[in-house]
Amino acid sequence: MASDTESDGKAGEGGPEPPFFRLYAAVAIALVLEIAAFALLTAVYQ
Amino acid sequence: MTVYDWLVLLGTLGTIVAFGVWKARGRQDMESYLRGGNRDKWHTVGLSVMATQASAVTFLSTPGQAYADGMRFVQFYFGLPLAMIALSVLFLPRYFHLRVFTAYEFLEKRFDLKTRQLTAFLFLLQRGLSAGITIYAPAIILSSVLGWSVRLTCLVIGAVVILYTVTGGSRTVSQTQKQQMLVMLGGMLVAFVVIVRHLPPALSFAHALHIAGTLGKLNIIDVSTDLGARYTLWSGLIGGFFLAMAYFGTDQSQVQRYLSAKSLSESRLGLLLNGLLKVPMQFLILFVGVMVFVFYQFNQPPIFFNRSDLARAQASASADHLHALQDAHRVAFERKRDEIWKLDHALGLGDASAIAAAEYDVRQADRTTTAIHEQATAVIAAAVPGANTKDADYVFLSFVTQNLPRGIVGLLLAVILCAAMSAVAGELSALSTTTLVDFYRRSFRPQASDAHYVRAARLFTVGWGLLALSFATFASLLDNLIQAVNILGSLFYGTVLGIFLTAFFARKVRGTQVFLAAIASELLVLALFLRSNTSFLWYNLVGCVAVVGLAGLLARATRLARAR
Repeated sequence: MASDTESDGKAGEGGPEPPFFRLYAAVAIALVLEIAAFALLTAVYQ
Repeated sequence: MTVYDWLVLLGTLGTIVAFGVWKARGRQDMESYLRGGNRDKWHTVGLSVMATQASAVTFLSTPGQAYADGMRFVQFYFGLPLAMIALSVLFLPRYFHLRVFTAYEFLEKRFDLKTRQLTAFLFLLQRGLSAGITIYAPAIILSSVLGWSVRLTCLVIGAVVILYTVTGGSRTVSQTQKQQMLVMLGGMLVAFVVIVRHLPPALSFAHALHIAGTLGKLNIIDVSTDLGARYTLWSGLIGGFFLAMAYFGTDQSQVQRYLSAKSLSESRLGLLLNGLLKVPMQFLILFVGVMVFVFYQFNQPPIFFNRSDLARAQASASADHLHALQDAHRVAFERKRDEIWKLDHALGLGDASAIAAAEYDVRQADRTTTAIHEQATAVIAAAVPGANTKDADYVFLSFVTQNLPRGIVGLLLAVILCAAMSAVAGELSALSTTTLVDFYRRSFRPQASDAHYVRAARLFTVGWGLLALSFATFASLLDNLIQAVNILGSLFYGTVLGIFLTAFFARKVRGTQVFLAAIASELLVLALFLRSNTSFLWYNLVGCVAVVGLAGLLARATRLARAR
């Protein structure tokens, strides 16, 4: 994460640092997978 | 409560508080007292953000909600992970760039003083009221277990929190919240394992799930588009997104948590940790409630889980009526248990028609026990003035204290008290910071020394703490107010978020325009609340869109008028 920390100085102007895009995608994918798992659980047992 | 439980409870709480105060030792200036000296790492930020949101009611009421209504409540949190991403991209860089103490400082830099102080005032109003409720709501339930009065329970929770928040400031709050959140997560995992081990040995886990599903407890996803339905996939994703944006992005009790991070990156990682853990954590808490429900399909539950109100009703003129209902409840329970074992047997055989028939019988038997429970609730409500008839709030604690082994009871009570303390500490710290920075320093004493401001912040913390305590301890008729205060939050969040989004994205809008748009939007949300049955999650969307739209229109109208 060294490069992320280095880029903090100009955080106000720029968008997210490149590694964060992957983290954002990971969080969004985790949510989609959770909803899919819950939908499956609902369909099977409800 | 055995001596082992007391040792676990007091040992856990005492160690956490002592550790938090020790971490913040030394001379403090305004920077370290209000922002923790910007030393927190991402895991401290993430866990303290989660701990601020998790109040004791989360651990007391949520399992009970699953017990009574199933798991649909988890949808409420679906918008949260997306909001964490949006906040990391849009809000955090701006706050860090301007090095603000409060979110509202930003609004003066962008608009004007009146918009900053209006928004800060809305925060103080709703958070000041809810701090009292955060202490009071668990005290009602905990007092029955600890054998203390509600007032004493409130005083103990409030006094400990005020003491360590005043002593150590924001850094102590973050450090204690981190440990408290770890205790909460660990405690709920232990609870889940112990509860599953309490189910009948002959019952498989898959059959336990099937029984819960047959009785409507695994209704996790609801895709209906009914705006009046409180928890659906859509209201959770869209309304929940706007609510989480407003709460985490503009509520100082949360903003202060991630502003104490070492850097922008640590702050972002902390929010993403929250986005990753929140939905699974809520699922776990609700699932614990479902397992408690399955447990009570094989073990006779009380007819009413709030034992103190039940005892008062049994001592009233309605005792005979209640006694007859308890007998009927026992018979109905035994019949339902027999039907459930038949379903378990049919599941073992894998015979589809036998399973369908058994499911029908189980549902019929469940209707009978539910009807008897509703009758008993009505009898208790009539016999005991002011009785808390929502006995689902007492299900989890009742189960814990009567069925779990010694030591674990103390641990789970520590979970609940940790949740109460962490939420109150975050709120008091934020209330004090906002009062100091947005009102006292800005409008009354702009040139005082750092030491003066730290002293003032400590005094404001004590003041807000005492106000919350007096609100909690002297209000015994608050049942309806609890609901009112919860709705109060959603009535204002959309408007506040709209002000911030306008600040970020509508560069041509000026202070007076957004100020007027905020007041008009708030009136619209209030009208919606009073005149329609729309679920409160949608208020966040409506308030936000109305502010952005009206402010844009006003700005355009002003420009056109000037051009003429």
